This record gives sequence, structure tokens and C-alpha cells, in this order.
Amino acid sequence: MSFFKHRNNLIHAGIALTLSVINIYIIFTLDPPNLAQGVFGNIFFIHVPIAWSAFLLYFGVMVCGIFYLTNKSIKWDYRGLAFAEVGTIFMFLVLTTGPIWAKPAWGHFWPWEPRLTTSLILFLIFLGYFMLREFGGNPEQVSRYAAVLGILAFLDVPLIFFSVKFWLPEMQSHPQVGQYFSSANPMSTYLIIFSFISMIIISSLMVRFRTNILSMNHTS
Amino acid sequence: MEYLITVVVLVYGIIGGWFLYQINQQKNINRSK
Repeated sequence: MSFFKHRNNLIHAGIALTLSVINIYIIFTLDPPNLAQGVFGNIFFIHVPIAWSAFLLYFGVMVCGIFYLTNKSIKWDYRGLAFAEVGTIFMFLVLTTGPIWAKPAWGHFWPWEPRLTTSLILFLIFLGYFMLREFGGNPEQVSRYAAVLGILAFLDVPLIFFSVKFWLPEMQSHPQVGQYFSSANPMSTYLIIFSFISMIIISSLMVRFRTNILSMNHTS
Repeated sequence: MEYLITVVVLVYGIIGGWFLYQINQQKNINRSK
């Protein structure tokens, strides 16, 4: 049975598509909040919400891992894998859209500063997670190890978020937490929240779709 | 502007491509049943 033949899934996809179109329209037509950066500064409205969504998806991997370890139900294993796959796609997008913005803004594609390095480490941990899934051997043992790895990998997320505080300010290229949001320009805050909501709706659709396919694979 | 276009095409292109790939996978699974 096709995933999009269910009414609820079709509505979910319709909402995701509509919000994406509105989001793209806003990104192209919005006056840049930082005039010094020009229109490329609007990349911020797509890069940051994707990063937050990736962290949320990795949080999902951790939660599914905890549920899998406590009740050993295969559905939590599939959900965890689906969260990990979609989270890694989003993390890849974070690591590619960031440098495209950084080149005109900072003059370098990739300065080795704390937030970029810790984000790359998280991405590499999840590449290891997929290697474990693929080549780990006994499926039940692999699911158990993957759940533990997913839980441990999430420890890197608060490190990324607060990396701008943990290391010396001279080492930072990113702004401090909360510096993007000013009460003088609340529109930027609303738009970034809107973009974040649209990314959550797209990513949740992707996770549900992928979980559905993984369970179909199992039953076929 | 070209940086912004690159980012939007990259993000929505990869997400759209992912959906097409999954729909194709779903078709293959349904066919093999």
C-alpha cells in the first residue's frame, strides 16, 4: 500500500509542500536583516532552522534508542534508523549551506573553529553509525549497539550548541547564542521560527515515510 | 544572489530527490510482493 494513499499522510505532505513554497518565497523576497551582508545573509533563514531540525532528529534517535533498549520492540529500531538517516541528510545540508554562506561572510569556506569542528564530528559519528548498521553482523546485536551509539552520539549536540561559550571568544567565528535575535527586529525572529516549523513538518514526513518503507521491507 | 539560489536549490533539491528515491523504493517493494 502506497504511503501517500492514506489521507493523513497526503494532508501532511500538502502542508509540508505549502510551507516550503511560502518559505522559499520569503527567503527570496525578504529585505536582508543585516544590510552589510546583502541578500546572501538570507541563507541564515534556511541554514539555522535546518541545523535545529538536525539536532531535533538526533534527539529522536536517542529517544528511540532508549525505548528500544527498554522494550526491545523492532518498531523503535526502525524509527531510530529513520531518524538517524533523515538527521544525517539534514546535517549534511548544514555542513554544505554553512560554507556557502561563510565564503562571502568570513572570506573562508571552512575556518576550523569550535562549532564547525564539533558539527563535523557529529556527522562523522553518524557515518560510523551507518557502518555499524551495515557491517555489524548479528541483526539483534547491531540494533542494540546502534541504540547505544545513538544515545552517546547525542552528547555532542549540546556541545555544538554551547561551543561558542565553552571555547575562548578569539577562537569563534559564530555569533553568541541568542545574538541573532533582537527585540529591535522581531520579524527576523518570527521568520526563523516559521522556517523552523516548516523544516520540522518536512522532516517528520520524511521520518514517517522512511519508517513505513523499513517496516514494509521487513514484512515483504 | 547566486549564493542564495545555490543554497535553496541544494536544500530543496536533495529533499525532493530523497522523496523520489523513496517512492521508487516503495514501488519496487510493492512489485516484489
